[in-house]
Amino acid sequence: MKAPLLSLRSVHFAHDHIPVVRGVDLDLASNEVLIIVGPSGCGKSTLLRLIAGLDLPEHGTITLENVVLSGHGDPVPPEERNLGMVFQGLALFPHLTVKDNVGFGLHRLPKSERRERVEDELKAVGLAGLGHRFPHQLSGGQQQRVAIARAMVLRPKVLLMDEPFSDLDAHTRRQVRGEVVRILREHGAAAIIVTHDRADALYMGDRIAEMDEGSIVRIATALVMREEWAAVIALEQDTPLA
Amino acid sequence: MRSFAAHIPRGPFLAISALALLLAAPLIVVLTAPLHAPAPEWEHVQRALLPHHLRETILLLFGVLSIALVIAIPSAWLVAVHDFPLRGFFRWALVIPLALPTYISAFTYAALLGPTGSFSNSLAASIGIRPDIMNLPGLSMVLALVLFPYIYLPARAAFSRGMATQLDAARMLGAGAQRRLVRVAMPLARPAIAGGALLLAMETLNDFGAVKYFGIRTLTTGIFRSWGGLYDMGSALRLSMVLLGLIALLLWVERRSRRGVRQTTDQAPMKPIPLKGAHAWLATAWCLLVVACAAGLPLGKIISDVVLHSDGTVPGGVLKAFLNTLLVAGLAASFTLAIAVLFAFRERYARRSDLVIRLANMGYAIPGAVIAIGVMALAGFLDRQHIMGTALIGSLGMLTYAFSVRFLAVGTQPLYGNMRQQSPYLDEAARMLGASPWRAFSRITLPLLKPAIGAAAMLVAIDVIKELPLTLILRPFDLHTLSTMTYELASIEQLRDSSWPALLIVICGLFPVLLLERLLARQSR
Repeated sequence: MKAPLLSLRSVHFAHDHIPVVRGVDLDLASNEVLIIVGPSGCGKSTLLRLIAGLDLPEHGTITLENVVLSGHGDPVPPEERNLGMVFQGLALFPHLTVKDNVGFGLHRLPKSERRERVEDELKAVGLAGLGHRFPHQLSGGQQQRVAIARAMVLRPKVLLMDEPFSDLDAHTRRQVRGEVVRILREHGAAAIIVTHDRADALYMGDRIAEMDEGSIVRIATALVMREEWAAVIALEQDTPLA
Repeated sequence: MRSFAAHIPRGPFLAISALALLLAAPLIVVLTAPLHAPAPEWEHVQRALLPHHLRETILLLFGVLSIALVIAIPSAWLVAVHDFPLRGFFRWALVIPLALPTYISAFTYAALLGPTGSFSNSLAASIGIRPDIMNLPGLSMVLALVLFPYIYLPARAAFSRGMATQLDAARMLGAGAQRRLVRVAMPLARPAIAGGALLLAMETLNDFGAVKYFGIRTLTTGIFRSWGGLYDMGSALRLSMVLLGLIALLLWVERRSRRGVRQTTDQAPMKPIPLKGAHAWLATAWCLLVVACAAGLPLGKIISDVVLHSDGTVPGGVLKAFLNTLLVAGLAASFTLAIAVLFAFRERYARRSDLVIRLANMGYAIPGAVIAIGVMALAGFLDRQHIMGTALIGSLGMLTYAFSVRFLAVGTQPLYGNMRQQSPYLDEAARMLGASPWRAFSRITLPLLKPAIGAAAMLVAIDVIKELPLTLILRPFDLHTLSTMTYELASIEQLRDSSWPALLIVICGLFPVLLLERLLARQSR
């Protein structure tokens, strides 16, 4: 069996002695999109921050391509993990233009190569020609794409997305999530996406993990979940069951 | 809450505006000097004094700002963003220099590293090098060491809250600590840093004791020289105008630096990133060096002089100066707060803001020497007209008035801030129950303002205790306060004798500083 790209074993994290993530085991395959769903405060975002290295687990190991990121010895700092992250609220740098935001992580590359990579990435997310603008001059959907482009331009092994569509209206949300899937497929990237929206989860995920009170209570393919959630989604969308 | 303004008689508002005009009068006197004050020595002052004093003022400003930025930004960054040994201690210890008046720090540094200072003598005896900091770069360093918390505090607050997600994002994009600071944190904190730098610049321009002692020619010492040396009030007023012009320029630069700044609305607090090994100890060493130089050395010198070179009793003159200081500070705080309460009433109910009210609140931005010269000119005019029936110049009443002009904003701002937090419905409910505006204010708003009034009175009193140039010019004949006593003893090289009054000033200054630090710590949690 092929080794997983990213793997978590017995990962545990507490905040002020209150457990937030409890003994999580998780595997992510190459090119796979894994969605984590669950109620507010169940530990989804914290799990993402643990994978990113922004928080460090108290127990357990996190490995990426068999390299231990956290667990034994000194943890690998976030800036050296080769993971991309799209934050809730996006965290765009408001004082930098779109192209400077996207090129922020490429500072070690020669200028010409950096410019080329940024332009290619902006083209890929449909923002060609908007590089000179500042984030506040873009719509919500466009800002979302800048955040994705900024993370993807570094060709991360895994893209982490924390409630990426929470600030978007329903129409833009549907449009952008379609583009996210397209971009992920085009880059052949694996992703872990945290959301509380079941429709987003079913649309984008290969597998879906349900989290509750810090533990993963269930993992199944999107296909299986679709059947289970059909009734709930219909109620949420206020449409009659087929 | 201004919805009841239309129903309030205009009389009280007009009376308060007249009071504001009285407080703005010294500033108006300075700004209109060419119209009413002849300046027989102005040509000489313009030719022989102004160029040197202006040049050294600008050089001093540049030096103090540059050094303070180098001290404040890394310290704020380390304490806000990283975790390292003794971080909790440094968080408040780095604020202590604010309790030290600049002149006290300057005297102690001169006693240690001046041409005949104890460190200088030791170094000369041991390695043959005699350091001397009694020059412009030396003074820049001393002032920066005392004043850097003006930048450290707002920078730390900005780094601690408001950019946590952006800094996390920068980390995820591979940026190391230095790149995160330079490319993300500093641009986002620019308005806070610029605001702090402006305050620091104003304190530098206000300084008299330290610059005079170090023999540096600034506009403030030029004002003293024109007035006290050339006996030309008109020239002193014109130099004050130049100084006000420089302050206006600084305000413009600060406002301009905010233009186009995009700030985040992220309010997540920063989770400190632990530093390990050598990095952690380097961070501790840096903060320790700053605290030792900025607070440890001056405080150590003062305390050692008090402990080692006195018989343990407070000298009689010091006790008298202490009582005088309490009297002056008490009078100034009471008078200022009485006015502040009236201004608060107007702020609560007036339909719109008034130019004279704003002018009256500008005193804190204006150097004490400028206010003192404005007050002197005004009092001189009134004395010549025999309007008051008694001499105003050199009276305790005039000194109290001048302190209110200078520190009114310190009294009003806490009250305004507190009122903004009060629900306007409280007054409205009182008014609906038949209370007049004044009754609603005095029975509802004022009791709720009590803690703010107490805090504001304390801040005004402590500012008065530390103040030097205004007190030196306007105090009644033969009245010594702690600050004038410290300055006068130090200026005749009686540094050890000046340590007692200096210590008392520092102890008074520590209260608001530690209170402020506690408040900020609570806010950042």
